[in-house]
Amino acid sequence: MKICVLIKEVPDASAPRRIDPATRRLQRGASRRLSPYDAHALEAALRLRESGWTQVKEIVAVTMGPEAASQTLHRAAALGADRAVHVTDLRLAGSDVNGTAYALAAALARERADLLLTGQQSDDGQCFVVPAAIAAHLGMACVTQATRIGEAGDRTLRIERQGDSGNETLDVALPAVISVTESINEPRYPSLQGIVGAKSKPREVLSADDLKLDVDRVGQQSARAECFAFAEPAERAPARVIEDGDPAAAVAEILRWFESRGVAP
Amino acid sequence: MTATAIVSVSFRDGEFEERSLGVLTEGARLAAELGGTCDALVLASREELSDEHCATLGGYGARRVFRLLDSTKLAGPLVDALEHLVIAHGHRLVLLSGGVLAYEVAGALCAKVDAGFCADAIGLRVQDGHIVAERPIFADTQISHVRLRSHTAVVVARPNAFAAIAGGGAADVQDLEIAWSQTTRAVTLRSAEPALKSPAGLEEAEVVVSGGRGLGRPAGFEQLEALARALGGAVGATRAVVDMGWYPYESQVGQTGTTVAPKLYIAAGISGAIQHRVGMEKSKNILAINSDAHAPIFRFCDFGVVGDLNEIVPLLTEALAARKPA
Repeated sequence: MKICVLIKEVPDASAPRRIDPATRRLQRGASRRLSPYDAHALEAALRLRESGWTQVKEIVAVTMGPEAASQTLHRAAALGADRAVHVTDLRLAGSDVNGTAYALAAALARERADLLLTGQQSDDGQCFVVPAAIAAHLGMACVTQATRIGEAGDRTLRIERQGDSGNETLDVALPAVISVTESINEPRYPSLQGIVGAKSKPREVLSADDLKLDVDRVGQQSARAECFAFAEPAERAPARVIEDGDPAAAVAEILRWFESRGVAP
Repeated sequence: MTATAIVSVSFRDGEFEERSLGVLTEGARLAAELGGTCDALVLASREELSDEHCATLGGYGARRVFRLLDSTKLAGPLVDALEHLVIAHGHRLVLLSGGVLAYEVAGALCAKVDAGFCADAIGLRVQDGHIVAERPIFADTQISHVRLRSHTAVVVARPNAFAAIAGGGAADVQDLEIAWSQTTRAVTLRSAEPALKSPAGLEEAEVVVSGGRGLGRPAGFEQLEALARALGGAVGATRAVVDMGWYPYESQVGQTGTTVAPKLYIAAGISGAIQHRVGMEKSKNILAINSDAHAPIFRFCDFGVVGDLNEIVPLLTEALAARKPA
């Protein structure tokens, strides 16, 4: 089995997020990292290889993003990916989910993976739809939000997930795209050996021309969805937040607040 | 008049889902703004859903209802049907109500009909001929206005963002039987454990005490149960801890799970992910206890305590018990 894992470099969530007024896009920020959701997808691929019930020939980490995103591919290699594919081109900047899925599908079509694993959502855009859109482009089956990936026979996976009305068990015939939730596993840290070995792993860099992309389908100019304005929401009144650290004092404050709101016995 | 919008309506356990009726109401409103009518698509067998019952969607604004004859609730049949209908009728808007299935369907459809997409929409309008969706971002601290520039736009609405408004009228019902694509046939549902109804009281409770990952361990729920008892309330949980098996699914509050609006909602060790927020933000009073001062929950609660819930919750329970007349 050959597995591709989609990874994305995102701004560190602990830093405040801002929209760049010039581009109306999320500011990239100085501190960036592997989208935490994608760490679970990579971990799922590594565990499939280690489980032994299927022979995993290769795990390929695939990303689209600026040149600097190669840092994140390097991390994926240190964690255990065998090879990396980096789709990068200035003309791809500002692509919406439609353009992103189109471009990534073109890169993934060359790989002909049996299984494409992704996180359930990106940590920044949070649209949830790129996995299903890529699957549609590639003619692959798709199941999202997996909490367990098991074996169901020859070239068939058994997926467990929480569906809209309860827990579901589904069988999916390969080739397939599976997105995973955070609860599927606990991602590992790179080993020293992994970090040292990452440098020598192959990395392929692909431009829009390499992928023969129709550039009218990618980039901010061609985005089918365009964020053009931002507004303040109608908020609840700002909360009173206490941080004094003394639990007994906090409890006394909570009780006073209960009384003022008439909510406690 | 041409059909300008199509809404995917969920039918489950003998009834239309309330939140999809809200989405249908909004879809019909927008279809009229675009100068056309609204269609509905519902996945159900004739045995499950009679013609008469199906036609009642007309009351929420559907002119036509396409009943997709399949009883397995999977994304594939909906994708095949929507692709077929959108190509045949040229709908400008495909609207779905948020959930696992909705996002799976929306992603595939965007690729198939080259559509612009907006997730988690709470408002829709037509501006200069374009559909514009409003989407809260950055833990709901800003609203992004998204212009959809393709002929067809695919929008997934935030659950409960739109109210169902019933009027008069019956819709035409048409059965839809189409050949499933190969990718649809590649996925089969082996078993579905039907969601248990929420335990006595979660929806009706005046007080809900919910826990998330911040509890640190499954046994952390014991102290929440004690606090709920002291307040005469029910216990809820986030999807993350339900997925990890810490607490049963029927207690899940959020986008999938139960929507609650109690007089008092206590969020203990809950960061405030959007999927949880949509299930509890209509609560009258929200108390948040979390050790992370930057957790989004502190931006939409009424009273927040930054601290260790393992210390605060037992003390609070004790104090409440002491005040109660014996």
